[in-house]
Amino acid sequence: MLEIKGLHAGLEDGTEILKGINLSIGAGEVHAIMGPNGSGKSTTANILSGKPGYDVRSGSATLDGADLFEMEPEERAHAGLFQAFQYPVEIPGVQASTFLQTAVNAKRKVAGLAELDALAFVRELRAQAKKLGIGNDMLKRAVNVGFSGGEKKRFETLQMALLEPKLAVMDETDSGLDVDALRVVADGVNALRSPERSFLVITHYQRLLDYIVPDYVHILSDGKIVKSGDKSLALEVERTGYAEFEAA
Amino acid sequence: MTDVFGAEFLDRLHSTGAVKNPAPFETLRTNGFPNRRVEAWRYTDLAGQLAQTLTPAGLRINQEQSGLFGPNPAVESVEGDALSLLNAAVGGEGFLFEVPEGARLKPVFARFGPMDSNALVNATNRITVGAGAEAVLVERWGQTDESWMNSDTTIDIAEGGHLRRIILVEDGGAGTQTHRTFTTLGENSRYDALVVTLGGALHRIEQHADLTRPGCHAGLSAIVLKRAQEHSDFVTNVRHLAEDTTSDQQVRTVVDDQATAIFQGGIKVAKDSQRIEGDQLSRALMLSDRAQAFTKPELEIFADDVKCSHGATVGDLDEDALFYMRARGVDEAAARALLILAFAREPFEAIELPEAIETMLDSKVQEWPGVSGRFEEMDL
Ligand SMILES: Nc1ncnc2c1ncn2[C@@H]1O[C@H](COP(=O)(O)OP(=O)(O)OP(=O)(O)O)[C@@H](O)[C@H]1O
Ligand SMILES: [Mg+2]
Repeated sequence: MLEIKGLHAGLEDGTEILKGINLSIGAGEVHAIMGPNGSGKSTTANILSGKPGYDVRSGSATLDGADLFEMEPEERAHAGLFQAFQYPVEIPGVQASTFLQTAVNAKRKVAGLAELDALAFVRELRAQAKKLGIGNDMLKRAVNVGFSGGEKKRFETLQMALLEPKLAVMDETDSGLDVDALRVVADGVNALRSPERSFLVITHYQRLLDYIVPDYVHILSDGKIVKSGDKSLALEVERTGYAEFEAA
Repeated sequence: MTDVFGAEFLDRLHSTGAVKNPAPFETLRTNGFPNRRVEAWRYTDLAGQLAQTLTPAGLRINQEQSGLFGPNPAVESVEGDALSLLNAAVGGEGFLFEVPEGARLKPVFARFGPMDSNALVNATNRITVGAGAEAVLVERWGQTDESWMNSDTTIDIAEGGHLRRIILVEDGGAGTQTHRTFTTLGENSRYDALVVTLGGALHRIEQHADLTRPGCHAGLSAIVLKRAQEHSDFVTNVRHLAEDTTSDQQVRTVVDDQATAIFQGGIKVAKDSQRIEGDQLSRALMLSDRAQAFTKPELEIFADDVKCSHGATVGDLDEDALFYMRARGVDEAAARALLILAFAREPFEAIELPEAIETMLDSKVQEWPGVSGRFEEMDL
């Protein structure tokens, strides 16, 4: 599904952030990335999505064999990549539901499917929103404007559910969620788990991994994956902290 | 007298026999048109328009509902500048729109254009709103060639009356439109104008409002979308002449290519006009390095108990928002369109407009090249 090989990348000013990342995620797998603040977790996610401002120096990333770095951000989304952002952006003046319909129809169009009309879309939207405890009032507001931290994360999860990606990269979707919301979001993710869909879950808390049980856990430190293991690695981190995993 | 700005234009006009009122014509012929040394015309040069040979012609009025407009029999001279004198000299008839006392009208739609091609159209219009009456008037001023449409509209709103006016000023060609409105507001009355200007080599839209009695409110706002070499000059002049009056001005400007947009926003508070609130906010989006947006707030406040605010920002499209949309699969052009429209519409979201007006505004805005996004509120 996702193959990252020898990825060295950083900022356009020359600062190096990722110092040789190798990661292979198979279809249907859930991988978790943990690691200290500033170790490059979000940078990895952003570079996969094609966020401007970063510079890939060497290495490659492919999604089902297609070179992500050759694609525009929207093409990566059409190819099945989805990033739930750590800090979702506020878009004043663009109604959340309008935005969702535009995104869903953009993807359908590329896939050669008929665009959903407002009625069909609203039916689907309501069903998915309800599962995540998102009310109509929120969908009528502008995208992320005035949303609480938890509401933003639910809204990211809703977008993921509607866009049905092949690979979902979830960057700290659990941060800012209360216990109940965490369960709701985790249930949302678990409902999407399938043999064809993979997840890369970035988190600081092993608690999330109780709900979304990962197949593999990786520790990212100073731009490198310094250790990989199964879910017990997350428990170890919880106990001992990151000190013993620091990159040499 | 060759140093009079526009002398040749006026002589040509005179020779067509179009001048009906000699007095304003003589004043204009003596003083000329304002050049760029006149502060109010610093950013707008009439030279190009004055160099043209245009055919004087009447105003064409198409109305959706018949019988609502009549020709305005009384061509009054108004307090405006040279362009009002031009209008008065030619004596151009315009429309008369009268809302009887207590009436509550459904939105009224009307289109205005030149009777002839490459025409000089002068029109004097009059709107009266009776006590307690409510009306919504949607005007489209449009043309497709190099005509010059010049109008003065005087509005009187009686006690408790409310007029909402949406004025689309659009040009399919390289035309000029100069329109001035002079509104007088009575006690507890309300005037809300939203000007949308698109296209055109030169648009100068002036909104003057006199708040003459307590409790009245004027909202003078604009959406300005300009590209290519288009030019827009939006001028407001609110005079708080009575206590307990409020005003609001929201201007959203989007300029691309080498377009220029100016907002000259005036708020005047007379001595002894206490408990005044006047808000003004101008925000511009610059989509090209060669586009220009100027904001010139003009606040003259002679009373003490006054809350006036004004702000102006100029910025680019929010790159983070653009990326966020693209990361969701929306292609760059559509994402830009949505963001531009959202920017232009944002302050007016809360205004409840009849469905038909919303649709018309949206489709108007979307005719702008490079803008293709759908923008509609969904029923949930
Ligand atoms: N666009 C950017 N401009 C400047 N510095 C950046 C940018 N993106 C990342 N960095 C820097 O790169 C380093 C890695 O940041 P990144 O956001 O990837 O960390 P992270 O592992 O996600 O941390 P956290 O756990 O705090 O979210 C940090 O030092 C950060 O300041
Ligand atoms: Mg991060």
